Amino acid sequence: MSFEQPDFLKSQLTQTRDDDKESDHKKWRRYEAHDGIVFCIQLTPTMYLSNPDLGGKIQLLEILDSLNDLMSQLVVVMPSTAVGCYIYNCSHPNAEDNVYELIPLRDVNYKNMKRVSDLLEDIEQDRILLKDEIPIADPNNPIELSPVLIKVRETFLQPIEGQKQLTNKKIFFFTDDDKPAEFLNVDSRSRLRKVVDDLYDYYINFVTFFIGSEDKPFDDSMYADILKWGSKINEAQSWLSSHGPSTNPINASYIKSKVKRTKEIKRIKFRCPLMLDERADLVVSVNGYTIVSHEIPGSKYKLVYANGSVRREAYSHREYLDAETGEAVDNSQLSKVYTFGDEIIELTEDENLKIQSGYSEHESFLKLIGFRSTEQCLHYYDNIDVPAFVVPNEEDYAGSIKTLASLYRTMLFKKKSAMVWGKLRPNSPPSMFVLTPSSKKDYNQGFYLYKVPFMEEVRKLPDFLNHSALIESDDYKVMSKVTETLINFFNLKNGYRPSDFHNPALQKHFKILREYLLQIEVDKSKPEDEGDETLQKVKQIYARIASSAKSDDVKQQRLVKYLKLWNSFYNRLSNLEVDTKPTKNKKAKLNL
Amino acid sequence: MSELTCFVVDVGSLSGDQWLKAFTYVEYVLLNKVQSQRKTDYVQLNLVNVSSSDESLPVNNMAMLPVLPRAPISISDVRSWLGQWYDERNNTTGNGEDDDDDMLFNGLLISVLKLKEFVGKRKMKVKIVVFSSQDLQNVTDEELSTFADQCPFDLVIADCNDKQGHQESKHGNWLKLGTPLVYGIDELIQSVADPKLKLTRPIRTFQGQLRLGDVNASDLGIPSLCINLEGVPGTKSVSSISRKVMRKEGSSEGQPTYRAVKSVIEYQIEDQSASTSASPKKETTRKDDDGDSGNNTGPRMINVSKDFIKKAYRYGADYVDLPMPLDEERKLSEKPGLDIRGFMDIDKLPRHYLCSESMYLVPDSKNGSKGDFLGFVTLVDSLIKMKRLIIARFVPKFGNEVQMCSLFPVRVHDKDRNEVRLLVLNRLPMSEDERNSAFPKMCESTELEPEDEAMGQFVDSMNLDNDAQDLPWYESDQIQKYTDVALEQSSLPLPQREMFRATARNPSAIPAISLHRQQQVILECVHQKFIVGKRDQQDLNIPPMSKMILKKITPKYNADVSLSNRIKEQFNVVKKEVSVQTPVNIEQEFEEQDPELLDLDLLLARGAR
Repeated sequence: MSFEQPDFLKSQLTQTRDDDKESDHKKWRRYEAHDGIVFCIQLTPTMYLSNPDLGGKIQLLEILDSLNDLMSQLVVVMPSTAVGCYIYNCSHPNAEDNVYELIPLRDVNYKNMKRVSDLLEDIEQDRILLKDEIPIADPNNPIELSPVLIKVRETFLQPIEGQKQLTNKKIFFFTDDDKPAEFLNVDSRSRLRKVVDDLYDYYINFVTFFIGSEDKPFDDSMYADILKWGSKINEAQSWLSSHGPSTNPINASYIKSKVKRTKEIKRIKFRCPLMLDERADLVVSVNGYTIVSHEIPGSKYKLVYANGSVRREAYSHREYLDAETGEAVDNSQLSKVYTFGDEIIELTEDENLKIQSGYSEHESFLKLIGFRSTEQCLHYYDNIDVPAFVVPNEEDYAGSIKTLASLYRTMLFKKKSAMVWGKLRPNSPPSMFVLTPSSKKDYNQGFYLYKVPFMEEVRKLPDFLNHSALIESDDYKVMSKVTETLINFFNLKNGYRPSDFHNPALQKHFKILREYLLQIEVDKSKPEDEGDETLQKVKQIYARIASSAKSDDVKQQRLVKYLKLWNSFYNRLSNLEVDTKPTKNKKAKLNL
Repeated sequence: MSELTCFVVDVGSLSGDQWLKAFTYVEYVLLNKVQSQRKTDYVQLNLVNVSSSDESLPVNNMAMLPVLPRAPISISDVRSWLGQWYDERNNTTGNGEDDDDDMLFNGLLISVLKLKEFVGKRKMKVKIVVFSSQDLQNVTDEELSTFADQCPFDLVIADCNDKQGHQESKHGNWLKLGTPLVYGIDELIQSVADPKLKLTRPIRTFQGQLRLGDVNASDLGIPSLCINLEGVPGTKSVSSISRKVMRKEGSSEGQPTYRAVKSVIEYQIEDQSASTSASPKKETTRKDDDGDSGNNTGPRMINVSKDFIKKAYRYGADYVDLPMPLDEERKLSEKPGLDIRGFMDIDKLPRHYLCSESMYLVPDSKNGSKGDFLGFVTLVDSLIKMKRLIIARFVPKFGNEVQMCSLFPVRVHDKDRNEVRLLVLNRLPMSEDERNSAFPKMCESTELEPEDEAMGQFVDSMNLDNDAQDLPWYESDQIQKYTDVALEQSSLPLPQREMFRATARNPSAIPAISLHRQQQVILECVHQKFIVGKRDQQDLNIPPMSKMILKKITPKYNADVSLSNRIKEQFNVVKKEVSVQTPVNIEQEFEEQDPELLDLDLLLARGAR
């Protein structure tokens, strides 16, 4: 198979030729972020040792594994995130100042992914040794943090052709050395402090992975002092009494989950005032974030013109043709109109604006109507959209955090939710919402914002099978009993965890792309649904029933006995002549 | 079924405001018919007790507009019929005082006779709506009962009396005309002011089995459970009234004209030959005389055929142009069905996991048996009893993506108080869909603090539950059977429809705000520009929002404003004036917001437990 990657496709430029979309695009740009994550790892002798907290796995491998996992996740869900990995105190021949660039900071791409996955595979299969491939520097050399931080700052700020500027810059900082020699000397310490301040000036932030264990606890006091924010940042972030990034040590077993959780930048969905009482001008400001999305395979693509040997990026655009003459109509001649019978109604921009602005003086807003008991207003049968997570911000209204914190505690205590309505974006139509405080079990403090369907949005039920006489029968009683027993057999104690179910369609899509890019030979003998976790979980139920069927133990056989009992009722009823057909189209009722 | 609405207006008896109310009601109904353009929705406007007479009619002082009921109708129909009524309003023979001249009953009789002729053997839902302030005092009981026997149509009487004279007893003679519905004109006016809900017929979108276990293993003696189901949309977003793109011509003087356009998608590529080689090329649409300007003017584009266009999928920073056979492999071959993964306590499923529109699942009406019915009913009832829901693997249609979803039990009542059971399906997020983030904490402790006293009063004061109906957790007042609601609905808006009654007190049930607002403004626009006739009038008077909707979205302040002032002072809530230049701020915010403020590790530890 010949392998050729057309160059033009690497360009990150998104080109839109649709004038209407152009303005839309601008509006959205402010919500568009470009993340950069740099893994910054300090080599220490203990990094190469197996760690009991990891079931004996080598600590450095766990970190590289999490880098590998992170990139595979990002390529699916956040493909425009840049990832790099810099290892310091390293004597690799390519290292400068003992700083080794394992992969440069670039938007996730198959080359860097391959570099890391090949490395891990080679080590796993003992083709190479970790300490040879990533060797620690001579212990006589002073271990210095400054060079790597300077290097990271440079890579963050360096413009990369074809890559958008980074808007969100994070250093994932891994070490298990709590007292580097650099900190003990006053000069080097103040030098380091300047480097850190410099990073903060460029909005480069730290996420720390200070690995400690019961045997060897990590004392974070030195790092807490070095990494605390300068005065500039402190002011902006003064709303909690924090003074810097969290430096709390973690157990090695949390590395992966912490990487996963902190990789995300918070996707702002909307930002608007929440009006609690307009009479008193009691208004706070809130941010809404996306917490659940629906990733669809193949939804991110570019168009290619492929004709014989010619391969080029193509663009699509909409054109309007006169229905009679077929000539292209210039945009300036186009109008958006309402049709009313045989007449055409065109509202002026001003009139359209009047309708929109009639709801509120604010372009987007949420307005409190009142409070209801959560039990009474939040249901599982009328969901219509993805929820948002709402937290206060202090940008527009000072006091927002304290006010919403008080509201949060109060609503939590009283088990209440707020009914609110509003527009989340300037051009969106108004909606009705339930605002519910997150529970005490939740990771985050804030409110969930659920859209409430309008009356027209709750659809009606069709006429369907109705054999109401059966409900009065003994069959109903027995079958209910059997069903209850069966339900108890398959109770999910751990409930539902999204992380247990990778989307098979999405996985398949990316697997095909990856195998093509990396030219991996595909083993066709494997069944297609092998990697389908949704099916695997369902098959656990098959297995459970099968084992009950084969069991000699009377207790084990109960499951199958109940299933057979259920089926005997089902079959008997189904084999009966269906005498009362569904009451469809009862026209008699419409007789007026 | 076809519908026919015949308005019989006793023009002579209507005076003052009463005249305008009847006029407004009829206009509203007519305009709605213009808008819907239904070919089976006939209408006729009969004016009686007017000054002129139509020679072709056996009754004097009457006009039938048009002579035969019409469908669909146009704006100009409405304009001309209402125009005649308008001209006649002060120009009538009498005001019904003079019994001999009163033509109302005769007009009504003629209307019925003509309608019977028109309808013939066709199946048609016919309503005659009478607007009058009199009550047929001059008609004998015999005549009335003959009418009742002879009139096969529904009769709606709009009593246009002023309030003072309005008494139940005065309806006496009307009630002898069979079983008419009698409303005061004010009630009718209210019913057109209320938003009219559009009803959508349920259409099956899923048909398949709900399975527990492997249905193919029965040959091996391994049993499973299987119920035949069908699914219809449960919740579905409504969009606003869509606008059509048209070509507008000649707007400078007089009325612009509009022409239909069709929309096509065109594909283009950059003309690389222009920049890479110096050879002259044939003219293209874009002018590009100096070749070196390159990026500034943008490259020249060439239209290409759709047949050669394909997709290059994104893989991180790379875009992959898959060869055909591999692209084919991307296709899915999943068969429709629902496989149960297990059951779980409802309280344990975070509500924010529900992330799609809902689907109603009911026993299959075509292939379902009594066994499917009872299997389904007992399943729903057991789930309700045990407060559990189903987690299932779902494929809606052949070749669709696999989803994980929850099936929630619901039991509601139909209009005959029969219990109706269903499962409501919602998509759940999968691993790739979860957006885990860590947010800064708002407060150290989630327990109530002494400083929350004012907030507590505030929350209590705005309680909305007082009026709401107290329903069990598995019941909804909005999930109804289509036929139950359709029964009530006709194109004629009448007061207090049953479907509203249940939901009127539900604070969470409101009509689609912007949809009705748009509809209201469009109707007003048609009224002002086409009916009243100020076609070239520039300023449209935008009417106030519907009272019914306003009432539902107006904050329920029950406490004095001083309470809110106290909260405001307590937490120093102040609007910051600086942040007027928002766009800049938002961009900056992305850069600033991230420092990790909270004790993530504690949370992680808690999550791991």
